[in-house]
Amino acid sequence: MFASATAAGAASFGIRDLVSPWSMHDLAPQKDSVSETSRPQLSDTKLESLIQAPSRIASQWLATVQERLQTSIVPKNCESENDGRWLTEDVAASASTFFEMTSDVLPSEPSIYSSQNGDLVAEFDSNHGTMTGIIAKDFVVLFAVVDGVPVERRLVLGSYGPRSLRRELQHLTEMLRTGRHGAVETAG
Amino acid sequence: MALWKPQGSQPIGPNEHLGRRLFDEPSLAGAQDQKTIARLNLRHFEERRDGQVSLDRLGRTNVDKSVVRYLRPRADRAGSRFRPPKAFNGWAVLTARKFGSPPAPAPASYALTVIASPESGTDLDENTYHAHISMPPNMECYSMALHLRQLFEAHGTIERVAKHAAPPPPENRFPRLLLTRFRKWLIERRSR
Repeated sequence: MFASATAAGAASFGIRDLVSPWSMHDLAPQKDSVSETSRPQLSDTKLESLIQAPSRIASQWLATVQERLQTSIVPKNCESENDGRWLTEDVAASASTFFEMTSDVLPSEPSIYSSQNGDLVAEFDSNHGTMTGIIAKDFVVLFAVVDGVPVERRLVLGSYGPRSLRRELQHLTEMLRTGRHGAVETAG
Repeated sequence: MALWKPQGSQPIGPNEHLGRRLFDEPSLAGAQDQKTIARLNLRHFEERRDGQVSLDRLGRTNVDKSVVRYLRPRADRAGSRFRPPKAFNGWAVLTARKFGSPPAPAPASYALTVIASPESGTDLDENTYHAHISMPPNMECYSMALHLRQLFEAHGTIERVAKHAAPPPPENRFPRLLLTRFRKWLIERRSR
């Protein structure tokens, strides 16, 4: 009897569905699964380099914040009477991309509002201080206060690639997490 | 106590209390659900007009109530001139010496100078307690706003003002009239 049993048939657990691993359907072991046409697995459809490289896991708040940005884009007929309740499409898109690239290295879920100039202000909290990001169409200002000491960075988005941006943010987040701070300076 | 009246040429004393006006600021239309943060809104410290950040001189050594009484109607009027109007909630207050001594290791260029600049005019256009900080040439407007907010949050206080009482809503007399009529009808019915 045991000589004909397959590993999949005998196992009490296994990976059923790589696309949605949390689905609760069809928990009973399948019969004769070896003879079925196998579905393409994740490793068949992804490049080897992509599988081996560490992947970014977006923060849980990313979708919520992007939704808030999306629903704050100024309606067509309200552009002239924007008193701070709306963002332009450019600024919202720039902010959405910024959060998408960096949500995993930011210290917390941001609290967002519009600056007087119409750029996005994002406030973050951390153990050793606070950080404020001002995200405009083509630049980002980061201002962290680490244990009472201000640290400022100004990054021009065109000249800063995603990696440099993430590196700068990681540096600031690390300071906010550990309490070490650098001198006040601006970059860009 | 007599109202303290600074002379135009009188330099700002190191213990003078200076206030930045705080008005109601709007939230983003799509972010009404987010938690409110216990920080001063950066919008209070942004100045879009002429690179000069306006302040009110609130007292020589503390916040002088008589000066506050003088300034309140002016601040309320300034709020009513926004489109849409904004309620005036009070001041973020800081002593003058804190502007000139930024925390280490901030560079010396972060030291700010407060200049007395009384505004002449009639009635509420006049403000003898007006002062301003000129934005240093090496500082960009967001850096200035962020730096100012940091100073007020770290070393300042908030001087709140009582909100003006809202006018009572117009009384709806219809329910009371209905009740009176019903009572009258009930009494008449019993007496029959």
